Amino acid sequence: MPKKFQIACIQSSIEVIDDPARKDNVIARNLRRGLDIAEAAVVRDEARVVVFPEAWLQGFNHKRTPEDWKTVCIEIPGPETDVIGAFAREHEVYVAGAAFERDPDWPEVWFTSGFIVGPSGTVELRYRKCHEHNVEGLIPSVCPADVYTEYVRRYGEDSLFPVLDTPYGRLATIVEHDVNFFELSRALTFRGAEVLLHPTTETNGPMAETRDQVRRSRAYENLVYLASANAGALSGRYSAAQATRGGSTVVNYLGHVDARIDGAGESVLVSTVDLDRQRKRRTEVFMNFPAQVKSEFFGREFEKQTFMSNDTGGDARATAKATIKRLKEEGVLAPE
Amino acid sequence: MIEKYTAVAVQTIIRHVREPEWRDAIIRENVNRYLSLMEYVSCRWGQAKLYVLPEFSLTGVEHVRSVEEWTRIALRIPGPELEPLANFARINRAYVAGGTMEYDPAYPNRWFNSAYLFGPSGDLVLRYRKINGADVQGHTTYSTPTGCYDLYVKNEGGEDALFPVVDTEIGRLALINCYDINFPEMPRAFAQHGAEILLHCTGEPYGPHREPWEMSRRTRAYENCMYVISSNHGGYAAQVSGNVFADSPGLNFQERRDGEISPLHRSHGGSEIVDFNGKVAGAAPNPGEALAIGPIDLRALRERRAEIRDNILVQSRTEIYAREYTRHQATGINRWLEAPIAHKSEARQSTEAVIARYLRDGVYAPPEGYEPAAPSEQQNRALA
Repeated sequence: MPKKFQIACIQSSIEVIDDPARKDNVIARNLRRGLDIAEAAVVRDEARVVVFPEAWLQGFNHKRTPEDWKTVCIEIPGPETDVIGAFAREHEVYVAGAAFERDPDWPEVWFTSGFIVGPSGTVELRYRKCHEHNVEGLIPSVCPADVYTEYVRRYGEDSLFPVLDTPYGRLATIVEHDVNFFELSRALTFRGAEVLLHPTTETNGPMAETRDQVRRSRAYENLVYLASANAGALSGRYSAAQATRGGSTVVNYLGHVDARIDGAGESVLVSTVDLDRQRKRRTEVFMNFPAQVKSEFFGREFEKQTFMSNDTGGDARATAKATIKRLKEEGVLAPE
Repeated sequence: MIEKYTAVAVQTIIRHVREPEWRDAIIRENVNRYLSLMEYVSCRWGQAKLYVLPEFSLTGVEHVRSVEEWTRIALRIPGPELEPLANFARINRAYVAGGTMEYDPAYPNRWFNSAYLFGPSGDLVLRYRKINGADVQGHTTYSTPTGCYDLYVKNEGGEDALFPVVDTEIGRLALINCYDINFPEMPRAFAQHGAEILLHCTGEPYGPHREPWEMSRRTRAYENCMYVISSNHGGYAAQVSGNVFADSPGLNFQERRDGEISPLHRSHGGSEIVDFNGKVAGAAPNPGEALAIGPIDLRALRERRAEIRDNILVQSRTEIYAREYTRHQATGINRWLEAPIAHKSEARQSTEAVIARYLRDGVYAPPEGYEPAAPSEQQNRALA
């Protein structure tokens, strides 16, 4: 096991699927272009773990109908991850990303899913995004919690928070909005994660700076590396080319930014993950938050209050509205 | 309800109590300095409604000191030393919060790292005892409510006593101290109890953790849609002897050295008022005496909390995580239920035992060539 290795964030240019009928062509072009620029990072900079943005293959188009969304979904594993698998096998690397995904055995719903394809050429980790903008009515997907009982019946409880043990440390994925929820990074840390791979799509806006800080907080409070790959230049009918602000970043286990792409547009970031130093740091008492946190105590506290309830189905926005109303009744939120 | 008002974090150079017989005089001097600066605010800036003082701001913290001596130096809450601050609150119709070492005779042989809040009536409206700190870091010997959980919950009338929140005309206020802010679980637990404005009495030293620690305040504010007011020390002036301190004029080098348990500017200041979007609304960015003054807009906060977009608090999925927390064993509670903490090494050993267990069970991976130290008897007990 190497003491340190190189990690690459691919800030891909993404062609958005505007016409679902042309899905396969667009995905093939996105795959080809992404893997080509990743190859440079792998061959020249010896990157061993490669992270792609959230909607690398399909892009976001908020004019899609619910049927369109289902059409643009891929299967994981599927032909697309086979292409990635060939690349991963050839170069003996781990490739992470996220995509809109449909399980053919459960056609009623679809997810945004993180994945890691390994040197075996197969999907070695699949994670379904726990916190999605369906809650804001922006996308008609579901999160595992929305369909919790059925989800756990199909995939088991451990499938919610997967961690992959590799020669390059224990890897886990969190996707975009997930980073805002500290419980997820903590749960993955409790399950052994050392490097959080964060495929993301972050646009310009009032929360841009706050988001940057949140990434660093997650790394700091869990003594983990966090590698965020944001989307690069977009091309699509309704997509401003530089709508995402770029800024792909590798944060180290002290919460310091090791490397960062300055702006928007297609780019690549390669940085070092020093696993051995991270592991040494984790043996020290001083500010060792994952060991110092009173987990059981807080778990019991969290059991007392439900914010978004499980099993409320796909209309997460309605659930959020109902949650606000209930929290006001319970006095958790003060009346306006 | 007062919708808009001014809040102030008051940052001073704190005088340390080194010689116990000087306790009263030094506390008085610290209190007087705060009163002067708070008077200055009301003269220069008009009326502020909320003042926040740093952690252990009246005695300083002497890390090497017996529990017995601490119980004599620590204050009562409320108590005569805090009376002038309570009077200021009453006369100015304001709220005054701060942190202090506390002794409560209901807990013999223990002392707490606490925070208080006086309201416009001059009464104590809130008292909080720090939950995360010396009990996991081992830098000093104060007790925490979780360290003697069963006893504490019994004495204080229930589990809610650990996360006190007070509903006032200026919003729902809660107190936390210093290291607490590094645990996102803490402000979330307070948010569950209704907190809207978190008063963070802190004492943050320089170090490689400075920036991410400061960032924690902003992340906590954002992820809970709450104001966070962090009041840090501007510096520490240790007592050399009598009424001579490390920053007194006319000291020669050796005399100054004798007083420097810690450097005068060990603390980086940087007191802040952070709004509910995680943005800094007022700051005193440097060390030294300073005021961080900023606006609080309670209506804006309550309207924001009723919006769904980027409302991380409301969007939380507690149900899928509560079990992850309860079944995972990190640091436990009731470690000092029977015998109060007597030496600071006990806390260190307790965290060492968790790390050893993590390395054994694979929560942490060992660094190359790592040889676990033979566990002491105490560690074996903690592991069991």
